[in-house]
Amino acid sequence: MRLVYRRGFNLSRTISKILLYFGLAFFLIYMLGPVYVMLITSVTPEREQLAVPPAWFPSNVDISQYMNILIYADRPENVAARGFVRSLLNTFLVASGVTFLSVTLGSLAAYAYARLAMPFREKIIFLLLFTEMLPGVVIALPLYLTIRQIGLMDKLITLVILECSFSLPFTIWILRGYFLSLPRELEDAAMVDGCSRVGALFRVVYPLATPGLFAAAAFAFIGSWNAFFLPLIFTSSAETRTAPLAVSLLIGRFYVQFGLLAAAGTLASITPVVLALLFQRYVLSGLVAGALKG
Amino acid sequence: MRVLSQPEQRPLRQRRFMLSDRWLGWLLVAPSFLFIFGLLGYPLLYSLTIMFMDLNITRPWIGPQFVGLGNFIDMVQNSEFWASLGRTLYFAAVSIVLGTPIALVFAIILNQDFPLRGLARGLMMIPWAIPHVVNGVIWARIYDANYGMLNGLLYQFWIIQGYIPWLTNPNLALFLIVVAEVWVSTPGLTLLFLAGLQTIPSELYEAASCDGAGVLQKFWYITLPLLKPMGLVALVLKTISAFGIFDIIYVLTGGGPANSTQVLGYYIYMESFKYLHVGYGAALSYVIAAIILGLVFIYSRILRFEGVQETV
Repeated sequence: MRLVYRRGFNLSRTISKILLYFGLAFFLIYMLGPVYVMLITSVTPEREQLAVPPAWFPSNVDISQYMNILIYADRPENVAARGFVRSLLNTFLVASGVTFLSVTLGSLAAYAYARLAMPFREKIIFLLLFTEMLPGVVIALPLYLTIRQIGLMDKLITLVILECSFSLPFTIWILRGYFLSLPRELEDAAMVDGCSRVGALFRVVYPLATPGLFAAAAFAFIGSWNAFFLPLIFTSSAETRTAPLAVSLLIGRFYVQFGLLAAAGTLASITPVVLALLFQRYVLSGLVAGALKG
Repeated sequence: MRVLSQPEQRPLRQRRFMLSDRWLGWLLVAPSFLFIFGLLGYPLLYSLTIMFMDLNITRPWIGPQFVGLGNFIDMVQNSEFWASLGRTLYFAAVSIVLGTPIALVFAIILNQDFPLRGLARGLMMIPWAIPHVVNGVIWARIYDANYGMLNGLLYQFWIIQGYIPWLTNPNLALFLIVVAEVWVSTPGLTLLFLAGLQTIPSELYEAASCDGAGVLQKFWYITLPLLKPMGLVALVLKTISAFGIFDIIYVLTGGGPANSTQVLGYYIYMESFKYLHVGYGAALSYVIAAIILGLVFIYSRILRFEGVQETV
């Protein structure tokens, strides 16, 4: 009796193992298939780009499109790739500024809402959630009219400030959650020992909350790096162009240059993807709350 | 100071701490709130005034005119508004119907024990981390009419006889964009369900096994009911996100062909920034903001009453 039971158990285990690996294979193809399409397109030689059916495995790896963007962009035939490196630098500057401001300012506010008796706490937190969910396009028009009036159009600092106000609600949201998960007694002990509340914040809370701060920073940076709508509306010149905007401009003018487009797309994706993988452990928890908002 | 002279008062030190805590709180939140409510609240107030106006930007000789509820009447009477709203709801519905089962299956897979599980979870974040515009580029390559991967794949497997111009077909374009968006949002949805799965105590499954329940029964009677809160969260968040869809449509179709992919977010963009119907755009924005306010209210109720707060 017992033997039969165990044999049946093993059989169903084998079946579920097979199912699991089938599922995993599907999962990997689904998740990475489109990424693979971009990567091979970026290294496929020009004459194979237009093959019918498409070249699933290019005959040789051709990195000339990357060279065109990164090194030979000054050549007259590479006019489309011109300024792309500059746009990567712009994106990096803006994202760094947004990250710095969001995490420093957001962590202070998050602490206040996690630990101090703030009035209208529930209502304010609801408002933060609402502003976080509000699509940029809904408030872009009045912002645009105002920014144009005060002469701050087409400046990187404008992007930093605007994107900050979009990333702060989420930063406060996840850091508040993180601060709430820390034991309150540690701060109380520090304060009993003569530390002020601000001292306890800097000496006890921040060191303990490092993972949360990393997660918040990674989110702010990736969110700003990938921002498209705000740069589209608030910048216009090549000097302030960000990488996603530069990629979108390549589509408009040079649609059939698949190789160039894919190489530019890959270059624009490296930084956020590497960051997401580096901070994977920190980001995963926050992603649950944040990634669905679009 | 009058307080000091009364001997029965509570220790001064404690009271001063209370007071300073309150001021400290305001001090800590002030910079953030200046950013958030200054830069997001002010436009909403500004919209309040211009949505009753026609600024006549394209006809400057007329100047701003007060039109009362005119913009809202225009909106209700404009078939393009209703069509865009319909497309947005279609977008939300299809992306939920397609995206939820995929994410649920992936979450169940990632919840099993297998070697390199951490790596699989990490790789899943790649579609999420890639800029939306670049996602658009990838899917433009896949859907390309003459050299695309989708055509190539279907052709090689004899599913289609000749190449099909996918995105220029008004009946297919929006559906294909939803498919691309489902791919982009699968990581977030999967992680949501994964978080939900991890809150289900394993004792429930063990007890069910003792009572002779099979895999499917356990899924049907334990997993699904206990994932209901997460399902509700996903439903509301996906609906909210449908109202903000912009980047991928800008890259893939620009709202075309024949406006067939013009969802509400894109409609506002066109009205406000392309046709410069500023008052009308502001009125539209307010309606969307009100819809989202309602959805966020529902969302916060779900978080509170279904007990999802701790896991999210």
